[in-house]
Amino acid sequence: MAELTSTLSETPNPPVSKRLAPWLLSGPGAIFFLTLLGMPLLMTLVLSFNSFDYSEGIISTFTLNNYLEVLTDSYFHEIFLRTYGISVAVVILCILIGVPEAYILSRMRSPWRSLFLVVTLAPLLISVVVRTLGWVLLIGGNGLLGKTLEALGLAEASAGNLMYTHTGVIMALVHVLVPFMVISVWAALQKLDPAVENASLSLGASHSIVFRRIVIPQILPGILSGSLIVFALSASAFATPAIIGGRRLKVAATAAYDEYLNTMNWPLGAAIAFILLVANVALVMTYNRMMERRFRRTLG
Amino acid sequence: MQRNGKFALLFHSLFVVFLLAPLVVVVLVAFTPNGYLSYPTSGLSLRWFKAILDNPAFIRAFWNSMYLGIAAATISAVLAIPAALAIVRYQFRGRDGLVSLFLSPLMIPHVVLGVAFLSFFSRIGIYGSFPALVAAHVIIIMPYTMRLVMASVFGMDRSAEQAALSLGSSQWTVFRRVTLPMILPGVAGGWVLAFTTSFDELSMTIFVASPSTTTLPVQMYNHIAHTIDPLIASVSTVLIVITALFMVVLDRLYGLDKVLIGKG
Amino acid sequence: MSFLRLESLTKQYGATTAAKNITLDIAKGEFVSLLGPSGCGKTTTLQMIAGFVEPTQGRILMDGVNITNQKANQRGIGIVFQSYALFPHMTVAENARFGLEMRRVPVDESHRRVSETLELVGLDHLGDRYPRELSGGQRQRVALARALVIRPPLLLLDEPLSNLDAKLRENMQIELRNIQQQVGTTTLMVTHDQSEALSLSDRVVVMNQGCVVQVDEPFNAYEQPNDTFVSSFVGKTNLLSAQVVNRNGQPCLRLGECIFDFPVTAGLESDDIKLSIRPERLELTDIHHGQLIGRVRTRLFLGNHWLYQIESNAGDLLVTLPNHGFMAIGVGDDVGVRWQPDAVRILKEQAYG
Repeated sequence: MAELTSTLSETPNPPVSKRLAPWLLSGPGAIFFLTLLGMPLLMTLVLSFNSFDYSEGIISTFTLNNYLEVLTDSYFHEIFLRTYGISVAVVILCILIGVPEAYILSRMRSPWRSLFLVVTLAPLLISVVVRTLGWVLLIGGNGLLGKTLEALGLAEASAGNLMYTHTGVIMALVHVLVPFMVISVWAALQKLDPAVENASLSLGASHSIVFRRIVIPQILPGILSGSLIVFALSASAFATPAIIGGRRLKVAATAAYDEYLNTMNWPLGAAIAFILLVANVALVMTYNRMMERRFRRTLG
Repeated sequence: MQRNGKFALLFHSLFVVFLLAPLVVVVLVAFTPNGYLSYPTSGLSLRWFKAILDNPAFIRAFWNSMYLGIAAATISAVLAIPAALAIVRYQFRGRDGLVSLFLSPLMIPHVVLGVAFLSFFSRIGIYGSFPALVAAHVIIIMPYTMRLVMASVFGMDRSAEQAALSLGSSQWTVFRRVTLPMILPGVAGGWVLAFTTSFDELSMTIFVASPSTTTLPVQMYNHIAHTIDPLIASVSTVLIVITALFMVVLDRLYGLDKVLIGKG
Repeated sequence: MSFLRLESLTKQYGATTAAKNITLDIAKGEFVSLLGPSGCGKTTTLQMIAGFVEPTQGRILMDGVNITNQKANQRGIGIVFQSYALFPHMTVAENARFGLEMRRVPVDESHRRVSETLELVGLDHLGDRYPRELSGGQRQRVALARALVIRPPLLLLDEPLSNLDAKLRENMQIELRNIQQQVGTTTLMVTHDQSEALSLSDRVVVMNQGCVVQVDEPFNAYEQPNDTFVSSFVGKTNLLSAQVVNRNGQPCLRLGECIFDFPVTAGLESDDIKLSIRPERLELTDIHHGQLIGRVRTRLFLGNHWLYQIESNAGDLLVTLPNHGFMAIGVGDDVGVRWQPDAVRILKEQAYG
């Protein structure tokens, strides 16, 4: 078989038709992406350097004012600080909840394992709007959480009202994003050789030591990639912060939305969007670099 | 395999409750007999499901989302199959760049894509049109289609194609009769994942949908932003039930975990 | 009269030469094996004949026609792949019918030919099954039927039996040979398994490092290996160093303490030569009657025979003795080793690559 595949990679100087083939095949998709993804992004970049006037609308100039405004105005500082603060909290909670859950899932027996895996992953297929609505009904003014607290005599019903609070936004975002953490860790756990765990038990390690010293180091790449996905999605989340955070707790995504569709200051909105984009891309790139350097050797 | 301890099972139960509680609450509220937001304490009623039928905006938005999802998923598959064949089977300059290009929407926040499409589509004068919406959705779902199609092209035994060639098939017949059927599971999995992603998309679509092309998530979001009533709960319940049925079918056909892991 | 002719067929991948100057004539109806270790160029050669790999140099002639530049789908050659390469989405009958469909054979005739061929390979009752519902041996037969149904002028077998377990492989060897003789198709098989090549083929082509080393009938390849590579790759052997010495003006061979006459010592270039004696051609005897004296280091019981490893002055020797139902010689015993003069082969050092 090795011989067979080696013969598939062709001669150094294949005929023209063979050299063109990959471009003809991928051409339609590539052109589609370059025009319909490249052009809009380029246009938005240009737009972010334009200026805006309430009476005249968008003026095509070249100015850094939008970026300066976002980077110096304490109003925007607060928004970006909130955005990334919430994301960090969501990542930490997703690790604390998702990692043990993935481990527990992987140790379940046959029918339960796939059943609960589906239960965990299925919410990903249900619209974020529906899932966030559920949280509104739970933690809203007249929600189940407040009523339960009251019925148990623990607190007044109003204590269960978490609408427009950081806690509420974080809880709902964890709910929306924790399946991504479980998937990542689950995938990493699948690659684990169960005999290694048994080997360490046979050498006298306790279960908690096995988890800390043997399992965690091996699934670390999974935890990191899960954290990356959760962080990136949480930093750019729109629906959940918009519905639960509302106007009071603006994040980057909802701020850009407001600039575009309410204030109509598109250049400023474009600048916010680009900062969000650059931060996201930088994060993913850094992560990829780091992974290549650290894990290629040991865990390829 | 070791068994989970008591503490682990307790943790797991709390996790499942946490995961399902919001969905259960939505379904409960949908059955309230009252005219306001409440839990059905005095009895169950279908009045809010009937109310959906009197609300053509939701029905129209539902069909918009269906057509959009079908069109976008199909186009993404048609573009992804030849591109995946090129990427997996040929060594050529620019190959890695091409992969990054097709997967790049995963890195771009949907809100950013939304504002970019908004200005682009209004500039070229197709803002709010159905084709514009389809094009935007093809971009955001392409990474999912691409990944699953690439994986199945990669996993295919190429000697089956050589066998067909040796039996006298033309290149096109080999593709139609052997390659395509053999990568079909991956293509179908990619299509389904792409469809559901398109169907559920809100953050980008909210910028590019016009009142006539509003999708279901956008319609629901606008409704919630305005008022939260049992109607939105009953619409959500219908959506949950459809998704659940869909998942059962998907699980039977491919194994849900396989399809969903492509999402991460 | 050669039916398939390869003329100095060469394939280069960048700086590496996968196949070098392969020249070969195969007669109509013949069963020929390309035998060699992995990476020896046998699969590349097969792929060039099939039309999947373009030769860098050389020509391929089939029935006098130059097919070197013909496309794979116009050659009409039947191929059985190592992985079987069955179409997983088609039934056994549909797999077999595929080649006939491509040739637009009328329905009745294709129906008849498919069932004939499935009967030939003993699968006529499984036509409606899908490949995943079959055992390894059955898949193998489907692959064979699919290749044979188009009545190819030439059948190529790429490691056809390597995915079967040992017992099944032996049965399939016999069956493959029977079917090939029944249909009379000229067949070229690629294999790394020397016993498979020896038992199935009319001639074997031993390859190493991209070159053809020896083309011969199986018995000759085994008994008269051209060089050290062939003698050790085809069957087990003892490769021993010997010297040409002068005894009473007569050139002789010296192996350890044993000096013996050898008919064709003339023309040997160097004094140090390699010679080969097959383990089954060595006999163990008491120390007074042996040509060499040694001590038994290891003894393995292999069912129908014993394998001994003997330490001697000429080096370690492998000796196989048939099992006669009693244990005679044990580990640590001193023994004599002897052989008939015609058991010794003088070998060239391998000189190619």
